[in-house]
Amino acid sequence: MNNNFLSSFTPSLMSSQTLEAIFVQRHKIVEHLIELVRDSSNSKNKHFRLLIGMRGIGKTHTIALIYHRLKQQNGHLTHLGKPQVACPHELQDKLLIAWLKEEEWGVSSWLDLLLSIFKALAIEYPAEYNTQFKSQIENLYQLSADDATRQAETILKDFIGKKTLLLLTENLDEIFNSLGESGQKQFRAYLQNHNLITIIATSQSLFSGVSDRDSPFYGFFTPEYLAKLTREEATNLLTKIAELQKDKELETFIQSPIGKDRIQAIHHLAGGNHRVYIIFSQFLTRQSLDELVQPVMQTLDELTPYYQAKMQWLSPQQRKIIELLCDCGNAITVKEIAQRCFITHQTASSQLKDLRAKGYVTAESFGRESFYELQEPLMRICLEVKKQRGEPIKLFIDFLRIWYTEKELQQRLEMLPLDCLEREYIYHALKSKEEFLTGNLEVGSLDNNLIYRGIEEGIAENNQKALELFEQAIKKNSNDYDAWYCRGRTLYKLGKVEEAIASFDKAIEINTNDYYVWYCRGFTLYQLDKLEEALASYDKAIQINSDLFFSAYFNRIELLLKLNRWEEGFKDLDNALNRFADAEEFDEEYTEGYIKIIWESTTDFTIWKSRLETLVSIYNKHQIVSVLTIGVINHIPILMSDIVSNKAARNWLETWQSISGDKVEFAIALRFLKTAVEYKESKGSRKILLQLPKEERELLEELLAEKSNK
Amino acid sequence: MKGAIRANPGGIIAPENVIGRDRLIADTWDRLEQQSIILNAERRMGKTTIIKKMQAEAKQETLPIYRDLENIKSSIEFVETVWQDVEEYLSTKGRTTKKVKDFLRNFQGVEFQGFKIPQIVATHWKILLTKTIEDLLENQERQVIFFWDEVPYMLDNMSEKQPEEAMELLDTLRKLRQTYPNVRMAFTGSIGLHHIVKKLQQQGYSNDPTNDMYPIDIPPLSLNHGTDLAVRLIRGENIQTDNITNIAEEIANAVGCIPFYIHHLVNDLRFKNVVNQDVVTEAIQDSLINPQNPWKMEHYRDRIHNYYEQEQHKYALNILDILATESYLSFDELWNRLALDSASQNQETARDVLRLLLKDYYLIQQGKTYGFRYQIVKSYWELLRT
Repeated sequence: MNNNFLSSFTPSLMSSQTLEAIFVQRHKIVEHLIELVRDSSNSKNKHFRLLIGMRGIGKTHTIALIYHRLKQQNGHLTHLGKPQVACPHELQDKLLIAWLKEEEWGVSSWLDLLLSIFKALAIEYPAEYNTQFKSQIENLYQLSADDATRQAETILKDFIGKKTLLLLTENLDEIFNSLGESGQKQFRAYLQNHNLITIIATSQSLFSGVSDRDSPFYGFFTPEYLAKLTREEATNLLTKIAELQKDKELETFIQSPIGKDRIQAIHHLAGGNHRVYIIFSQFLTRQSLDELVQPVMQTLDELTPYYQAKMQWLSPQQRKIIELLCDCGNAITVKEIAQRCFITHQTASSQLKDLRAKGYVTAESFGRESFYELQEPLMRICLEVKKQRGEPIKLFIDFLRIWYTEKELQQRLEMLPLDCLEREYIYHALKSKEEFLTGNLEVGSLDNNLIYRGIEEGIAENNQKALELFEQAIKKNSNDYDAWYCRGRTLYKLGKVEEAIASFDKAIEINTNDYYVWYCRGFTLYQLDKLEEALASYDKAIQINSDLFFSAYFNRIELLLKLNRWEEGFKDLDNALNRFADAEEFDEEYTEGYIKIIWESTTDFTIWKSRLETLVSIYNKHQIVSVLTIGVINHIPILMSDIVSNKAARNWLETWQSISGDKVEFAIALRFLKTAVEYKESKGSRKILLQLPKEERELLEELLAEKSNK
Repeated sequence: MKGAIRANPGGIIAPENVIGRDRLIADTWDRLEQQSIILNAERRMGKTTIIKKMQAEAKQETLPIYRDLENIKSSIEFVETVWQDVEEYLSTKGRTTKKVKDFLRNFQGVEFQGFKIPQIVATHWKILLTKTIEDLLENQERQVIFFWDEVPYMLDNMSEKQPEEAMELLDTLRKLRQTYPNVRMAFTGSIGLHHIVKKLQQQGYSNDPTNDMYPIDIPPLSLNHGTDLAVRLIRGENIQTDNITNIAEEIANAVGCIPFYIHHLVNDLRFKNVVNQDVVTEAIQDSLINPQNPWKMEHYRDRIHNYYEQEQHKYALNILDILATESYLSFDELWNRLALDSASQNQETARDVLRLLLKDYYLIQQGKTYGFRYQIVKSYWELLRT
């Protein structure tokens, strides 16, 4: 088996090196548990710990890691060149380990548990087992169950001798269920009478067998709750996976802004579940959404049995509740759950409490009312896919599209208006730097060095310093085009827009044929609301470079619309989309600008409708409706502004509903828009947001939080 | 570090790591010189830990034999277990349980070997038990103390199918105590023995089989000892504090000096950066009211509904509500407050419920006044209800 084999579902199959390599978040817990094993082995203290967490959160991984670390017998380990936790080699003569793995299906009594322990010991210590105990254990099958139990107890005691036995016990809750009260009492009596065993166990939740005061094991185990992964920890996990698999592309991608955003998207879907991150790591780097669709479909297919198995672990009543929550998609009250499942409120409450403890559902309370929903949106999506034969897939893909692109867009929006220019500037600057370094730029003078240094300072956001350097360059040579141009950019960044235009004008005086300075001039004039002049600058930029300068076209269209030259603007948009049919750069950034201009242009319902219909028809013609739907979503923060009336927001919603209410591509966008408008009308009641599925709600919440920035 | 102990809430504590029980243990030894005892306490108060420490540190002139009996389901199993323990001990001295083996040989007609008493003699368990005790006493001089843990569980197991057997066992043990003055028994259990005896009485049992045994209550630690334990645990877990003694005292006080909760609280604090008073307060509040917390304090609320009669509910809740905000009240003071609620107007019911709350470890009587037995339960009740 490949030493780097990554198992999403059976961590116990992974090598110790792999387990260590992708270990995140739980170093302290594991080190502490090993210390407790040491204490249990070296003294009469015996510790009993229960690792608690939902399925997929990494319980087996943690157990496997403890197992491997304890198995190392030769002093200090090093792994990947890093010092490891001190190895308990002194335990060699003091500790035995029996690992009862996840599927101990055969345990239904204390005797069965004893036999399982023997099987685990036989695997760990075959020599001792075969020579000293095998025949005795075989003989057990000749005895009655009671006699065999007593005999097995004695054999185990003899096997352990003066050592301590560490029982690594997965799914202790299941084992306790099978043992029943009688078996639990036998188990506990054995622990108390012989003081030979320490236990590290796992369970999905704190279960009654250890938490009810009437249970034999009440308070016996100390719970250790395994926390869900935070986004940073998920990033760390994915980085480690990339390192392990020597996937440089993934490693670099994870650190990129888009990579971080994609992790965020998966984070919302995964609900902190380790397993899901490991699975999604395979296609995190796909460049386009189209490339993503196929692996996502495949992953959903792979995950479905996992979520089905998660359902199998529940009682029929709990399954019914989960199924209802899947069907609803959004959060619902206990009352609704009770009604829809035909159970009493009290039963629904207690089942939900248990489901919550097991990590299947989360709850949000408003006064005395609690709303419940599924913890992992992916569980719902997978089960829906199975049930509805593919219909939700499209919606899911649409959702992913929003995530993947919206996040990127947000970053750009944050940069606007000032930094949008800066982005181009840096690009330009780096290009110059490259030329400079490769010797293609005319160099050799101090002036050029000043410009280069100014650019460096600008990149580092030391704009005042940059400005000084550019001005020094101008002082040396008042006809230095680059110096005037760069000065203009820096003044723009410093908010001195009028001075920036003057500097650009000076650069144009020196060199009238650089499309870029015209573009910058246009953009800066636009900021000053000098629309006609800005339009002229854009026209000039396009005239100089009609093939290469993509942004100028779409920004120019924005100006036309802003100048109420609707017909011309829409016509140019259609043409531009024809002209740049393959351009990937055309995205929501421009679309949102157009939508915003339409929104601001009037409050007349019918005019909105007519303009938006034209816009929809153009996007439809060019098969980029999905870009438009994202534009609709990204417009929401503007509607949330305090200066926008509820009536205007509602009219806007109804306009969109009348145009696209029947189009499935708009389903998610209109759901967002409707919820946002109702949220506004309710003066910010969170209850309204609970109408949306969790993953959509989290996205909308981010948009709502942006309102003040818009 | 000297005196440092790892937090081990609920686990098995090494005798040398049991803090603050020396006085109680000394008193218990004194009492055992006179008579057998029953150790009473709420669950997780440390009964087993105490008797295991006693076993480990027994004086030369006593022979302690510890056994957890919760897995025992019949009298013959019990006898077999006692006999195995005695046989195991005697074998270390080169002796054996001759009387038991003679009896079995006579009964079966062949030499008895092995560690399993044949089913055929099950009905003669009383004789076997007596002979086991006689074998032990004849083969050594010391006073024997059977530390029998979870006796109520064993009786409960038996009473499910054969309540008469449980009754007979209780009577037989009483008889053995009376017949053999060198035999002492120390019973402990997670459930009160009185619950089992009451259950048996409902099925016709009329004896009081433990009235010769002295009941010993296990109290929380003193504040000094609670603080000492907390200091050692803080050191054992290498927790940084702004003032270790103050924090330890804060912890001990907050959980009413119950070792189980001190262990828990320190365990919960082990990954905090620097522990100060605010951190402790926050951890306690979380532990008391968080439904996911293993302390499961809601048991104290739920038990009223699950185990008390319908008409007693309001009385129990009202009494606890009143005492949660007071230190100690006499019955008259309590009654004056209770009677203000139209749902608790019967004085006799109030007295009955008060007795139940005392027996179920909610309350304690000091002179003529009543208050919460454990500070931690009081704190929980206050948080929950007032």
